[in-house]
Amino acid sequence: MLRWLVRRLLLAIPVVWGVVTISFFLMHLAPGDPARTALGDKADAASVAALRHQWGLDRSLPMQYLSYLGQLLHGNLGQSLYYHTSITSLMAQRLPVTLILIVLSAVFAVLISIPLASRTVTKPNGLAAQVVRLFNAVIQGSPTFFIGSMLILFLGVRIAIFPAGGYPDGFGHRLWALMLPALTIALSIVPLLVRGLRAAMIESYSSEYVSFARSKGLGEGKIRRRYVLRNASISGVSILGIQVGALASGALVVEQVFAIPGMGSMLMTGILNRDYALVQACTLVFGLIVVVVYLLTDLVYARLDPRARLS
Amino acid sequence: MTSAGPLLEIDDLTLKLQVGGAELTALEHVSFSLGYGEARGLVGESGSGKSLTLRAILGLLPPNAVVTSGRMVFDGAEFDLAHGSKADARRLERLRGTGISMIFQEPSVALNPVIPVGEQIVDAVMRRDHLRRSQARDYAIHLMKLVGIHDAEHKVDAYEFELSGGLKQRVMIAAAVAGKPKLILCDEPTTALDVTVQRQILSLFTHLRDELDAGLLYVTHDLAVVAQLCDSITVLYSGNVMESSAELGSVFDDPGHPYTEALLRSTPDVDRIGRRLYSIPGSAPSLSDRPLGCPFAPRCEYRQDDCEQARVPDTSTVEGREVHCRHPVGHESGRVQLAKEAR
Repeated sequence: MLRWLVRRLLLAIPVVWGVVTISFFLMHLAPGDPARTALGDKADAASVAALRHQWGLDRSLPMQYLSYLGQLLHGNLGQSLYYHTSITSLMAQRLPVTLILIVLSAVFAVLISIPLASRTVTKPNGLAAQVVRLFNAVIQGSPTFFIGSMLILFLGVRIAIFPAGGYPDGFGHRLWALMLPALTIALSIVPLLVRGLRAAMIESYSSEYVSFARSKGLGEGKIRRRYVLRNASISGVSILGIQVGALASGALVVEQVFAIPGMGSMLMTGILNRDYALVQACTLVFGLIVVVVYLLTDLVYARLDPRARLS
Repeated sequence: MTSAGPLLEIDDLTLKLQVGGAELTALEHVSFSLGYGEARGLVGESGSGKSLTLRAILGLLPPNAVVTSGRMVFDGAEFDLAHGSKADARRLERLRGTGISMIFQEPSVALNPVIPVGEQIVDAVMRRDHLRRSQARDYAIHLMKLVGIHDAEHKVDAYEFELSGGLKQRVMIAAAVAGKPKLILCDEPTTALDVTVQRQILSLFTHLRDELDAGLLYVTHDLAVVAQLCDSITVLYSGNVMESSAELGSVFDDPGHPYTEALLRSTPDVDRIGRRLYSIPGSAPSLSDRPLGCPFAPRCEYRQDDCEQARVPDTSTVEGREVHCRHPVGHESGRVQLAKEAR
């Protein structure tokens, strides 16, 4: 177990390095100049050059890359060119918001998908199944920001249960403010999750082990919980694990729609202002989130499926 | 061996399968009965409807199967198997495990791979007795020992894929007897096993029969297994009962239906080593082009013109015996001689 964990962590190193390298070169090869952006159009060439020199942007690209890597190895994410503070302290404020949002949306996705999938499997021609089919088509055809805006209009304005946006003080209020954004993100992966769970449940239901469980006289409720959902949750977990990238990018967009001060709005600011270090740090953190979630997915998978423990 | 009336009575069971818009008859007017503690062999080739019969009894039919007629009496209670009666289906469900249980053909797919095998026995135990889980677990271990699993204390926490085929089948048997059922349906429980393991499982059945005093309905295509284990026999062919007898020996010594005779002739026998084994010419008709009369007629050596007319009645004159043939073996001189020579 420990050996497996160490191996997985070692394997994560090249992945993270790849993320860092790609984001570095993409950012630096894209047109635009942070010094010019900071000083404005009217600044003269000399002061722009001076600022570029001060920020180390006049060195060759490989040199900048190597010094950036060295800095990262010291655990230093660098200074934000736009906010003029250390990126680490910015992260400390912004990252928890986004993390809570992602976790909350994953929980919502699961809580919505399981009953929907169960319903469509046990009553394939029932009203619920038809609604789910329509719902899936509508959700999959709609971009996240549209769903978010609709939710704001209905649940934030028309029937004002949730705040329409913003991020008030106090833990309880903040959690409440994250409900609608989390629901929005969750809805974007619900169709996939429902379809995956549905297929796995149908497979389980037609298996001999369910027939055998029935022949033992177990009730349908027990069969669903213990013999069908238990087995279907294995593929549910892997779908959810793979979709965490979708949840993270969903968080970026939805934070904009709901004016939530998380990583998403910070990343947007960074990109618009050519704040190299900030964008790279955000990409790195998102990369790390995905790596950690994949690791967790495998751990949970092994917990649920004893066959996976052998290898 | 019997108290008043049989343990199980199946009467006029007809079942259709819906396959791609067409409706195929898989079982036709199947009837037989089983006394308390009796073991009846249900014999036939693949596709003869043996397994469907078992599943119809438990109400575990595939979704495309429709029972169009059929009445069942189990332990004095009557059930309408056709007409989709919800109330009867629910009563039938309540019988599962404690009244009737079933042992499946493939132990490796009939056990849930992600739940320890012991838990799957515990589920069946808890169905009958309202025990605490720890007590039920102890009882499950006891059952595992009863079916010949020696280190049951360890194997109780094992998963299906960690056990050999024979052990898996023993686990399934333990789960099937956990509810102390009066009738155990066996769907070729030794087919998927090695020959040596088959022997062990068969002797386990013989042992359990004495121990539990349960009736057995044993589906197989292997007449040697029937000879070892069963008291009575029903021969199915293409969804029809060909021959049925409350006494196994009479059928083995003196088969009434040409199909039974052909089956017996095609069974390997150590006394006939070196001689070419008989095989029935042709192959079983598919469900879609079954002949109008006797389904075996096209392959029958003794076929006559009237064989392919409408449904064949029971022509047996012996009590407890049923033969669906217009020209049973042994009734016409010459035929007896031919059959004897062949044996």
